[in-house]
Amino acid sequence: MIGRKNSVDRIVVSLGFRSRRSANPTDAVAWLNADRVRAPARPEPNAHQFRIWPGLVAFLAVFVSLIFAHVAPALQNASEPTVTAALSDAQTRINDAVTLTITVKNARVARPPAVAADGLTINFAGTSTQTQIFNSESSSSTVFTYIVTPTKTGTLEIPPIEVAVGGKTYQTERLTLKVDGEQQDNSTHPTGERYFGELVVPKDSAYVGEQVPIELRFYFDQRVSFQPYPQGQYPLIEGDGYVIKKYTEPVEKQLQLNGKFYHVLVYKTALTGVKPGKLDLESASQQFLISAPFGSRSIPGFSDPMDDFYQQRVVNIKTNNTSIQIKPLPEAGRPQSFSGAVGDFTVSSVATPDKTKTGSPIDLKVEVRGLGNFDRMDSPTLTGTEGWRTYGPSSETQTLDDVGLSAVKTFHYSLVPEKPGIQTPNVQFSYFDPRQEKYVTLNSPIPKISVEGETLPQTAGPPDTVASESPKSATVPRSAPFDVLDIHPNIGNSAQFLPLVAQTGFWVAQIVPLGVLALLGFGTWFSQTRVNSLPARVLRQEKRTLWRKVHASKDRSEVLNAAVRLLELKTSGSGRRSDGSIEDVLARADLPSDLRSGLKELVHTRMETVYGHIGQTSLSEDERSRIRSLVQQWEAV
Amino acid sequence: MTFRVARAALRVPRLQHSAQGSKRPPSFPSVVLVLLVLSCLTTPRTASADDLWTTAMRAYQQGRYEEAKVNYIQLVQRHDYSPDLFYNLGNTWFKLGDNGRAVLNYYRALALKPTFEEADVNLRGVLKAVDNPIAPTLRLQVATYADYLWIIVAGSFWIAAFSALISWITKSKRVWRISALLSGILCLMFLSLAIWAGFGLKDRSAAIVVDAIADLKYGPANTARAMESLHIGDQVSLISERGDWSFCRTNSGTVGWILTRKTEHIVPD
Repeated sequence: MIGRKNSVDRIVVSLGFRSRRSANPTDAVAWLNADRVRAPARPEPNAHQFRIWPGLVAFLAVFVSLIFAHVAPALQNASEPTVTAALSDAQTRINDAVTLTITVKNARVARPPAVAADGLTINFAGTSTQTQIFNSESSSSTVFTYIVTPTKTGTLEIPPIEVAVGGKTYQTERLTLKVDGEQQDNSTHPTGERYFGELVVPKDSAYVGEQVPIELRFYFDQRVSFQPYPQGQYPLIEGDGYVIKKYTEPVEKQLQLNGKFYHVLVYKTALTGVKPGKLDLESASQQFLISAPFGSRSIPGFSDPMDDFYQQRVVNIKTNNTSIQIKPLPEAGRPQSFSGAVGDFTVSSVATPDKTKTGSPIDLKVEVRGLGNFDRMDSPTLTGTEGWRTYGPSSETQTLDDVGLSAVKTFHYSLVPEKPGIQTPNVQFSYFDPRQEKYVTLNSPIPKISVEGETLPQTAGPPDTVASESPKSATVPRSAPFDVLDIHPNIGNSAQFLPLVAQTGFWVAQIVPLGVLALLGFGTWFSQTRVNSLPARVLRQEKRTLWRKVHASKDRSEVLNAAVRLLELKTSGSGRRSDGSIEDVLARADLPSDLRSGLKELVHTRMETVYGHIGQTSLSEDERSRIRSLVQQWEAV
Repeated sequence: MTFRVARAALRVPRLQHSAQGSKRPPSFPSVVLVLLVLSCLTTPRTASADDLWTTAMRAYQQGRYEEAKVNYIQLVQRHDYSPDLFYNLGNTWFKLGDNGRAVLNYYRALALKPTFEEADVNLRGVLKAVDNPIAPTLRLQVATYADYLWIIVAGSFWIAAFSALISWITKSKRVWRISALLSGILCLMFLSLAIWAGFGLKDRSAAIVVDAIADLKYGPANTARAMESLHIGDQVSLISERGDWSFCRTNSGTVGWILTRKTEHIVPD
């Protein structure tokens, strides 16, 4: 039953029908069963085959007759070609594109006609072809679509467009496009616009070095599909006097503005003013490839198919301008250990191990956590470092949000105690808090570290990245400029920039193991071949010896023995007698009668000579040649 | 005895040959003499390289960095590269205030000797000083050791090959087959890794941005729009060149045009 169901499905699909019956296999089976009642019974396996062929033939016949009935008269009654041109809108604004369509009816034109007009940028967008058959009459049309972008205002004209069809030239009507002034500024949430941009700066003043999160929002009507163009491009904000962090990946949202829903693409970043004064942020711009509908031009109650026609183009969307006042950091109250950090931070420190010997390093980890300009802050200062050699620090930053405003910056110092029983240093970190508008100094004392051992001899001072406390001042200015480690006195071993795999030496070196491998492989193969061929070689050796005797020996019995042995070797192949005595073999073998009798005589003579000592001891040349001939004939069989 | 006779027999025609006025093969003392003369001729070149090195080092230590730079560059032009040479040259550029070329030469030193700790420390220091603390990508980190990867590939390949052969020869096949299988897998793994990582700093297309600000642009023109700002030490892969501009790919995968003079190949030309 299952098999029958499947076969029904196959039949319906193979006919290309999408009937209701085929949608449900159970219905199809019922239909088939009903058909069966009407049709005479047929053998089960071929039932569907017999049923399908008449249907298929009928279908093809109808199809062919339809073609002849409709297409052939249509071809005979082919009308005169016509060429028309039309603009999607008669009025537009500068840089706001409209669509030009050139329709060629009743003719086939492969190449799009050339179109050019003063004040208009016209780009070919595509071709579509339609064929209609209606009431035995057919018509075909080819539509060429162009995107027309005005570059100047005024009433612009598209001159008649020439289209060559079948050796004749046809012309379109002259078209007129009225172009108004530039698009309105999109900066203040323009209502009714299909897309616009917005630069959102949450505050109107900030301090030098303070990070200000900003957002660039690009709004799009819900019917407009969009993507940044080229892909991966980020908005560009013109201006100077500030630095901007890398953009995060844009986030798409849906927002309601003036009662209308928009898709919004939001780029987030942070801006830092580097010098005091008014910071003017020019409008940011971003290019998008948008696909927008032409807009509703339908007559009420009449569905215009062009409503579903989208035009694709690249637009440059600009945001509004804005400005922000950058204030200088106050000189008053600036601590010497000010690190350049602006924001809100906390500091914690951990030193491991808590027990050590003089000369053994301790790892001091200082974590600065909070919200601020982590990329522009220096390391915290260590105070009370008398009796310690300090090295480092190295630092790493782990951001806690997309933009990197919130983060944890970890500094690693190495501290080496020079003498036992010394006090542990203190970590000091100063920053400017823009909310409180004052400098804040944080202290993070390192827990007591027990130091044992002898006092180390005095050496050169520690590197200048960390300040050590002097008796005169509790806190000294922090880091000195970076300097490199000293040069090397020796020129060292020469080296080359060629990658190892591109060096000849590397490949030459591969010859050694390759050679060993080849030798080993060949040796193994050779020895195994020798072992395998040993019986055959022994047999050949024995045959050579026997033939030598047959040819040269003067001893008759020796020649006869050798000849019979040669006969035996022929029968055994491997040198072993496996098929009975030579007499039995000769009796069974399919031989000419004279050869058989000759060979039997040879065997018999040999037995008489060897065992019965009958006959001569010497061998005549005639007999030798006869024996030789017999053995050769036997071997040739 | 037979040998002596044969040599004597050979000598006679030679003497006759020379007596006829033909060229005589050089004798042993003359060969030694020529070699001595050649060695004397080549000695000044080596001494000159040493002199350059000593002069450069002395100049550096006395604060005459321009002179040190000239001498180090002369050594580079001799193609007698060493990690220490590029390290010292990097230091000299740093002292001269050209952080870009300092970074470039530290990279060169690290390309020749990935475990060169001082070059690494100086490189990180200079990059931090120019406010561009680059974190190398995993691919670059792996590629730094590309040579070692190829050694492992070759070694594991031969172990696999020999194990396979021995498993064919000997009776204890199981152990050798496992050995061949494991080393074969190891070989394939490291081969894939080596191919993925590429040649890293030794890649001939690899270059370093040596200018403080270098914009990556959409087109090879000053008027073209910038897509990204690159900084000293940023690594790029130069793909092609057109006039003053090079088409390149940054480590983040962005492709664009950059002024060629703002970059320098890590592998010296």
